[in-house]
Amino acid sequence: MNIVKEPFMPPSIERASTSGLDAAAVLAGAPVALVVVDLDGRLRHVNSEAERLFGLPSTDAASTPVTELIGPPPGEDRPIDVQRLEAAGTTTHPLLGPGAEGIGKRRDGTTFPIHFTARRCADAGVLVVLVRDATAYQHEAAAQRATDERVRRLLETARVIPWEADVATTLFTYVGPQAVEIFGYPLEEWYARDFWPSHIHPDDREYAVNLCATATTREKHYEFEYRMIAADGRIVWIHDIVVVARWRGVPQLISGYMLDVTERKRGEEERARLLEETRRALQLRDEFLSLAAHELRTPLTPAILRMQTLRRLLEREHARKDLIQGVDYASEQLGKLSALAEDLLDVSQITLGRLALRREPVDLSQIARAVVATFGEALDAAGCRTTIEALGPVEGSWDGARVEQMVASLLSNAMKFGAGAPIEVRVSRDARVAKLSVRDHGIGLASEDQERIFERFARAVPLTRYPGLGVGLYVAHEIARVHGGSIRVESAPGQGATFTIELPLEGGR
Amino acid sequence: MTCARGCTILIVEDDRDIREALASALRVEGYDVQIASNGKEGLEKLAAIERPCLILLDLMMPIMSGLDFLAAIRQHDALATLPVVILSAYSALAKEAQGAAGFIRKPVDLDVVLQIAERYCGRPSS
Repeated sequence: MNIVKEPFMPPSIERASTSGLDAAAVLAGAPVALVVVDLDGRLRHVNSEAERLFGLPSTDAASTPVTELIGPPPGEDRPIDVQRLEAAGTTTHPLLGPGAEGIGKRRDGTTFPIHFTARRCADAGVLVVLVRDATAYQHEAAAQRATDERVRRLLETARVIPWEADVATTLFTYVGPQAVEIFGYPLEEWYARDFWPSHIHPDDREYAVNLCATATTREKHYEFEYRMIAADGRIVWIHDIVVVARWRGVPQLISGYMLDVTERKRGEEERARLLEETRRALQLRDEFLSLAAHELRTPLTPAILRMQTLRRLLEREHARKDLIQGVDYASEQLGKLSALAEDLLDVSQITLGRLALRREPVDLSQIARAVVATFGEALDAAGCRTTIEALGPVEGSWDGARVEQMVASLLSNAMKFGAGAPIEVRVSRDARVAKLSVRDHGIGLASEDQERIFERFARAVPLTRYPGLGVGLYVAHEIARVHGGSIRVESAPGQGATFTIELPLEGGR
Repeated sequence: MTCARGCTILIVEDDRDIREALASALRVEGYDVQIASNGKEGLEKLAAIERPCLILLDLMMPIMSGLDFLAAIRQHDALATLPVVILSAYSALAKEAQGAAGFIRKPVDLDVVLQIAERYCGRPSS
């Protein structure tokens, strides 16, 4: 920020006289204010520019103590004597260069800020003092000081380390003092060779150094994050913002800010950990559900077999009707329980991503006929006269059992929501896909429900009317999806619904 | 008890509950049911009992799988022609069982089992 100017050189009287010039005339006519003081601190001569500046004739000035002309700057008591005059060259004014500040005293009693420099002319036994009116600079200097202070405060108080480095030597040329507080290393260590790479976390070192090298050659500005190791072994996460300064296209200086983002990173890591924990808990839950569903299903098969056997025995023995009805009722409940366990197993398998397909050559028309035949009695009971339109075999490589499950799900859905009205099942194909649609004439679906009904545990109607897990369409949707196919519905409230399954003919995924 | 083609049915199934339930159902119908809990036991049973009219065979079993059991009896001149019906949740897996006479999908439906038994053994009559 400092504007360093060339130091002012007082004119050399000795050299002027040896070259044959009239030294006194040169001194008098010099376009700067010059005051000659003997070593006792009394004025010997004041040139015309100085007379103008201080408002006094030269004759009056002789033998006057210099302290009557030049005073110390405001706030200082020590007078400007010969020693202080001589010492003036050792300090530097931010705008005016080497010299000291003081107060110029005019004859009329007024004062003005001055900047002065002195040099002893040993042979002549005098000091030549160059005095400049600093009035114009005073405000500027104050403003400059305020700005410098503001910038310094900004740079050096935030938890941010400003820095600058030379590209050629890879050494830091400036590192903000905050580095000491954040990392704990003495500031001077930062300027040593390889300080930066050797204090990066070993896991990030190669990445950070390479990125910095590459980006410096290519970018104007770049940002990256890495870990550094503090003096006490702490890991400090740094977000580094870098600006590249070039000369004739070649990077010269890089500068930037290291932001300590350790807290943010800790938050991120904590979030990631919680997410992973949640994911693991969900996985465990799904594993448990899968195991539970499997275990629930296992005893149901023999129980149903036993019940069917019991019924046959009772019939053969011409048992009472209410006994047979009791067994039928129990069988029906076991069947429902079995279906629920199957639903639960399917959903848990899908959630765990384990819905595996066992592909085999399958005829979709044949499956449609088989499912409708299986549902025969139930369809009759629901009052759904069901027709199948299938011109011929529509064969593909699919999981037969799963396709059957999809069709059964659509048919049971149609029967449930379209009771008392006919159902049309249609199988067709084009060049790419096999299609199976089930059309009912039931209550239909509002458009907002049409996407939702394929979601897990979604229901378009209240739970109380149609019991069950409500996963049939979700499972069907997932079966179609893992086959590389799709399932969709076209419907309007009161207009019935047409569900269409599409399966790829070329084996799909 | 007589059947058109013999009354003995061998069930080779590792799940005790399913095995016993099936055996019970077939016994109620009048069949003579023999049981084994894996392929190895199945082979031992075959050496000890009257030639069965039907074998109901599970595929996934410990010690000796259904496929290995099937391959073993196909090597055996006297047993090569025995009708074997596979019990499996997957039709594709059942298709790998070369030489099986048929396939019953699990979970097993009793009506289907009885139809199969009648087809291969005939209806038992006393």
